[in-house]
Amino acid sequence: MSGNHSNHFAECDNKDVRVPVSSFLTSIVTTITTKTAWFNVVVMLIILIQVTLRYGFNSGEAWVDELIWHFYAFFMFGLSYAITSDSHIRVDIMHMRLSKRKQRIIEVLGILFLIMPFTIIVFDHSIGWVHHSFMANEFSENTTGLPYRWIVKSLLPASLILIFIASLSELIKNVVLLIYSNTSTDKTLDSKKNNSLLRFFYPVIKNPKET
Amino acid sequence: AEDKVLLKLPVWFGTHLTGLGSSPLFFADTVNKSSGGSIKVKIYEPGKLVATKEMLESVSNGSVNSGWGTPGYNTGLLGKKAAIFSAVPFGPEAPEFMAWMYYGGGRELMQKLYDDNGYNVHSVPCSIIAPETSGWFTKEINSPADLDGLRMRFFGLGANVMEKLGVTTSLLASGDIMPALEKGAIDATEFSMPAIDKLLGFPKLLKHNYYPGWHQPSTIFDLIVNGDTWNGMSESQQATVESACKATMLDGLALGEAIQFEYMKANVESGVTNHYWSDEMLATFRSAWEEVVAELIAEDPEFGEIYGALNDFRDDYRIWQEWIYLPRPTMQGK
Amino acid sequence: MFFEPEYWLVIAMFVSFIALIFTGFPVAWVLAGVGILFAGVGYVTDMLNWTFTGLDYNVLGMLHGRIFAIMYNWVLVALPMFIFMGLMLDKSGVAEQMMNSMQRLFGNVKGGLAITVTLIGIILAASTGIIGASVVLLGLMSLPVMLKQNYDKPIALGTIAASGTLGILIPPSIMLVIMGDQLAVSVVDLFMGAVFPGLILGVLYITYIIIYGIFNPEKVPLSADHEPIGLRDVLRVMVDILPPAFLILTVLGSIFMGIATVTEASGIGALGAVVLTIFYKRFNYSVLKEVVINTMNTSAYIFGIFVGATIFALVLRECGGDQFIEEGLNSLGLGPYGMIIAVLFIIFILGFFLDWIEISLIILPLLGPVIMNLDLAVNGFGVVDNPNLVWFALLVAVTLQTSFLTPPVGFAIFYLKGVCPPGIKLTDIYKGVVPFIILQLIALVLVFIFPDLVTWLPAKVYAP
Ligand code: NA
Ligand code: NA
Repeated sequence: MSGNHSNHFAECDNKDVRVPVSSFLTSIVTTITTKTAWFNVVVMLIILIQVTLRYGFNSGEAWVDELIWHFYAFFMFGLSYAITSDSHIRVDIMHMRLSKRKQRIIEVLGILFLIMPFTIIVFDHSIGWVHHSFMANEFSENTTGLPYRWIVKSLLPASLILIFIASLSELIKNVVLLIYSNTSTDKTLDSKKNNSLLRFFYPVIKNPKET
Repeated sequence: AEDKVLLKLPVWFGTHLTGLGSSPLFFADTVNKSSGGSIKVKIYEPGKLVATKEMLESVSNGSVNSGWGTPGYNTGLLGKKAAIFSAVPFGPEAPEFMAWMYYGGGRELMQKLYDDNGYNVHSVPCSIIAPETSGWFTKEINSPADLDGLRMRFFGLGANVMEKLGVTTSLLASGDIMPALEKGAIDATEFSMPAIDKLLGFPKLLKHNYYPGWHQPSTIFDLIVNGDTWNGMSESQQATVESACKATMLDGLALGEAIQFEYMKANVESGVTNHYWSDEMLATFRSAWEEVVAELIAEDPEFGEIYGALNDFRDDYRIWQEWIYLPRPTMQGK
Repeated sequence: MFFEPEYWLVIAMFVSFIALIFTGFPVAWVLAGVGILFAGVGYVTDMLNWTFTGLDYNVLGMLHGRIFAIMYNWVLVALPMFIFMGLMLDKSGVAEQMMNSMQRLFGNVKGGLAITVTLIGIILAASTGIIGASVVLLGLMSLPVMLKQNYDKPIALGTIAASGTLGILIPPSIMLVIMGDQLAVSVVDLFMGAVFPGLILGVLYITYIIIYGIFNPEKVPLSADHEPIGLRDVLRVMVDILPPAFLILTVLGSIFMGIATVTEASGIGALGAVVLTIFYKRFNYSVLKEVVINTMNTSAYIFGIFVGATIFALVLRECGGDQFIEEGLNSLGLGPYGMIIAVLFIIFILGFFLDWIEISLIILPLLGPVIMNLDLAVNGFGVVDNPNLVWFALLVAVTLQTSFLTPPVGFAIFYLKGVCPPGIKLTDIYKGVVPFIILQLIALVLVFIFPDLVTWLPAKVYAP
């Protein structure tokens, strides 16, 4: 892998670069979200059960309906995955004409001033809200609905943690690339490579196989 | 000198729903004019500021300083007992309900319920409406068997009764009812009184409207004010709010009574049949309700305490009620 | 003069939002972030006694509740389900086969594929009522086929985006439900009233595509292996498209007939797509996994905007954004029809930047009473209550439909961009939607001149 780092970083795509710390954070997010993504299949199966009960046996229970949206609510976890896969919608008319460096500066500022304050503040407020639901043993507003409303409510702060981790991962990656695209020579990189802590922030171009 | 207060008031129902949702408008107008500018009430339509289901929490923690709804919509957090302060099946009608609330200890119990559950709110009873019709159906309901398997929008303690009779109930918000009916998510609904039900469009889809309103003989709504906001208000400001709420109770009742007949007549003209539940059906609802009460008391002793307090008052009240009022003309037996 | 100092905050919020989305940072996070930042700005300007917004840290305690309201929305469950269905039909190749076959029915008509897309768009509109779902489903099913057949990018993209947005007009439509609620008119009247305007739009689209095909045949080419069509071909096509058509028609039909709810039908449709894929022997674990992950990802960026918008809207409202619009309108002093034109114009302009949810929630409740008291001569045929408002609501609906297509913030455009192959730029889509925006404005003028287009059908259907 040696020989393909140096000043490539100034112009390469972020997705073609690995920064160990970022990759670790990203893997936390993807491991969790790619598992919970399967809950959409669970939603389908519950809908099948619901329809069968309703039209086959002329019976329906409020808790079955509620189970559907309890699993659907996991879509909130997807918001963090969409950060790591860079698929949140951008108005890219001007953005795509900017240099990689400027794009990275925008990412860094955006994450620091737009995403992170939002996640921290809403998280802070939602913790007491979930706690209260737990203490009150909150029940569905429907007579035959589901108990333990705090479980589905806790998906909100949990998803905010994931969004925070995902954006932290992107933040680190962009900062690292900004630094290395300015100062990098093979020598400085190699010397930092051996420093025990900085090692985790050392960017490498991914193998074509890896991408 | 007192500080000026801006009461941001999110409401549970759209203010266009005359008689039900319009009460906060009357309250706001009364306060804004009579406080001489010392209190300003600003109303926010449902969901515009805070999701209605989160209103209680938001007022308690001070995100917004007031809210307008009814405890029966917060049973998830407060328990089923909260619905007693909204409406009780086969329970008191408006004069008796107000008597209990203001002079029979009801209001204190309602405040205690909020306090005991850790909510920092001051509750003021702030509107009451006459009975609501007990449902709109696509077909005639002649026996309990006709109810079995129905999916129906239903509010409060009456929902437990309907569940007993094999109905699957859900508590949809006003705006969700019509689409749910259209798409077959529910087959039947109750919401409010004819004037309001008409606004939502029920008479166009459902041609059988059932009376009397056994499930909600009257319904009380309350204004909740954040506890710190309330304590920070001057005595004169507090008195202004309290008396404006009493005026709103009166107005809500009078307005609701004044506007229904016109719509009942119009409904009949557009092909709706008004039905009065048969004695058999009313007896069925009543005995199911008695079973429900027994279960709810067994589940939650506090339900029993509140319901018991109401019932004690009603027992005392009965002698007056039975002697003083003229027999009422009804459709019963016709 | 109505201008309050808080209104500077409202203006600053809009300007910041528009400026920041052009940096290319994701729209969802710009909405969320600007909302939060301006809560801070309002707090500071309050402290300096410049404004009186009441904004503080505590006010932001309403945000989690608003986000949670999106999480327990049972209608929106249909969104990931329809996305799954579209992706499954796409990955299995079933969609391509169906589009090709249906196109054969149009024989030698240039633009046959685009017409097919429009027709499917109308059917989807009648079934889902969810723009995100229609556009994504349509984009996934038809864009690859259109590009493979060498369609000019803008016409292909424009057709998909415009046809996908028919969902807000043709019932059932979430937007009409919300409008009915906000304006206090019957949703059924709105549903029925929207049928003709929706069909007019569909007809306008198809007519445009045919005329476009005559003048630019090379941009809407026929499939390379097309043949003149005979009865036997029709039969063969029928056999080809029967299974997928059966799936789509049962799903859509069951909703339209009122047999199943949108949520139920979407879930069954998604399962049905799996069954079809198995039927065509293209099903395996890796296909399923890919569809599952993509469904999560696609749902996520749509819901991301919902989340951002709810935060932005709260803070905008706390700064007095709704009052700003109300008082501004009242200060214009126009006659009844002039007032309506002014309102529609403002909605059209706001539609460049704002989502329909925000527009319908902020503007409609303020305008309802004003419009109801205007002296308009809309005929309700003695059946439709509030014919003025029903007509007005539909005018707003058609106007808002354009907001999905107008740059820079056009949700249909965003949804479509999300499912496009990498080679396609946002500017390609912008170019493609322009003619369709003009068609929508033509439809708007027709509805404005002939109010009976709206009120006649509900009057007939619900006559006692
Ligand atoms: Na629709
Ligand atoms: Na737009």
